[in-house]
Amino acid sequence: MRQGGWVESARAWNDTNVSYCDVCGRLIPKRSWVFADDGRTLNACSPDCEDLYHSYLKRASKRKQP
Amino acid sequence: MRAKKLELDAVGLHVLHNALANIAAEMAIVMMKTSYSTIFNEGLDFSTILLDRQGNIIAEKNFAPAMMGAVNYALRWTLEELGEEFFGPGDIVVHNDPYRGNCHIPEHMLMKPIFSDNELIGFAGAIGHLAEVGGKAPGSFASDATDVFQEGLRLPPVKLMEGGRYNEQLWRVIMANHRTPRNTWGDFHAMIGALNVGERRLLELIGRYDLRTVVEGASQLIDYSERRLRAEIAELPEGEYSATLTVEDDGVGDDPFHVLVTLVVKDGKIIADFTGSSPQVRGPMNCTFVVAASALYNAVFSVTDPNDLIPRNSGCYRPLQVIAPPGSVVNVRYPGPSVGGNTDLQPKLIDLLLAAFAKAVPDRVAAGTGGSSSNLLFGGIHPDTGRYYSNYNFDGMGAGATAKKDGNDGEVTRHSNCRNTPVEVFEHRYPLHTLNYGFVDDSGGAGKHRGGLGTQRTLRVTAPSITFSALFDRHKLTSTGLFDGKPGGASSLLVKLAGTTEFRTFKDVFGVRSPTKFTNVVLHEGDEIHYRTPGGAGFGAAAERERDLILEDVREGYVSALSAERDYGVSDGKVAS
Repeated sequence: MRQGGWVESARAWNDTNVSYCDVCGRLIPKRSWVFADDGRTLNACSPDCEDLYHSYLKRASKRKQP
Repeated sequence: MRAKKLELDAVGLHVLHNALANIAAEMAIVMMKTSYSTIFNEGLDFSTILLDRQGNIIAEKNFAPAMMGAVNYALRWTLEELGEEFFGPGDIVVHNDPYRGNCHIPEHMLMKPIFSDNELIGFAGAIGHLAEVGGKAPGSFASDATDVFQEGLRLPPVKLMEGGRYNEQLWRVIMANHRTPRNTWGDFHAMIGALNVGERRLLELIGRYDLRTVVEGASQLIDYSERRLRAEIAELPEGEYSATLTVEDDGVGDDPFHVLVTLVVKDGKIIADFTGSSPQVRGPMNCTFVVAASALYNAVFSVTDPNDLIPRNSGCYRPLQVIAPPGSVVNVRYPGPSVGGNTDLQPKLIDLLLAAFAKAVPDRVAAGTGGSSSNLLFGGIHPDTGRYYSNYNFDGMGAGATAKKDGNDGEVTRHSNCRNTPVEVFEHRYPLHTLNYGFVDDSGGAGKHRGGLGTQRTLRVTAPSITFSALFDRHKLTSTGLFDGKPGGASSLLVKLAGTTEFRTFKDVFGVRSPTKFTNVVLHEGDEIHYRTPGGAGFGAAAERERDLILEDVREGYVSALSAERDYGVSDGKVAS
């Protein structure tokens, strides 16, 4: 069940920074899909990445921790 | 013109796909025939595409599959960042920003919106490697770059043409920052010509049928390709398959770095998770997110659709997911350099992914390739014209062997799919004389199927001076074989100064840090360069190779008698006891 929501970036045209998805690493050009898990806020590029986080990445990341 | 009816059944969709694919192919021919630089008209280091209004690819002419990731993302991300309203009739937007969806600084993507009756209906796109875009080294390929600013002029999405007119202010900035502005002018216009042809042909196609049929048909083709690829993936054994890769250095330091991938094959989808890979390095061997994506697409298509039967469009990319942590070697963060990540990490990422696939489908993969584009950059004032010239040159290396055949000899990296520049053209354009050019015997890794051979070449400088840079990888760590296949040969790069008799390493002669990765070394008339590109690895045990094939290799000079005896146990035409 997705819990996140879209958040529009307020970045000015002359701001040269870019943001990346906390789940897959893709560019977030304008708006991010923001969701929370275990007290942590994640900025994702799409709702699909919230699904990916819960279905795969969270489990895989725990497994890869030493 | 009165529109004909096109039923969107299997036959109609096939007709529509061929029509769209032919438009992309014609765009590519325009670029090849009209560009100024050898990297386009001989090397074919570019691709052309048609995209729908949302930035989804509907057809492509993929001369350079290395760019698949960029074409899948660059326009969609530009649309998301700047909005559809950013694009007006007659506009052409240029974009080479590696942090916004491009492969590396030299790759420039041009995008032209296509309007029908004032309605935006799609885009024509062309992406190509400009041979010179400024930065610290002629050829814009500094193997010791430590940030993007040393690699060349970076352009976020900006308008090259606006309402059909030159954006002169931007052209002036670009041409003032490139060392060979005449080539930039010609190559950009070749790309613009391709976009104009793509626009014209798409509008003709809409005139022949009708707008809704073409738009709906393109959408159905995308869905069809997705279904086809999912069906192919569903044939693979489900599971998680991991592999690791070590790269010899980053061009700046001597330390190796690592890439780790876990492939998750499940439910007709594939995830390539690069979590655990090394943090981004100081030198230019990092790659961008879209380069990691390109590597995945290349590997998956090699495994699932090697004969290119599925229409290549956005549907092919939907079942494929990359996880590439930002700030790692597979997803460089600003302002990290990345020029070599596209040319020399991407082919190794494909090898890595195929090594992971080998655990699931060993009969569909290839052993490690030479894995280096063997980038040789040079420039200076041409003695015949008095004008500045610059060139980005690559040569063939050895491809990895497969379960079915030997690796190809002297093949430019699989991901680039490029051609070498013929010696005659090369010598006409640049003040370098080719003294010899051929395969490197024994550079193909031994195996049941032998790895492909690398190439070697000797060049003599015929100008008063030329500035050289190089990024040759696989000098220390060679390609990796599969199923007891042996590694291929290493790359090397040597120099012989005029008046001397011995070839020595650039490190010995010029004190550069790396013998095969260096920037801005000046050679003079009569100096010679000799280089070898790396070989591909073998597949299967050498003891299983057919005796006749070994003898044929010896006769052809691909394998020496010494190697035949040492690696295959064949001596004087007889199997050694």
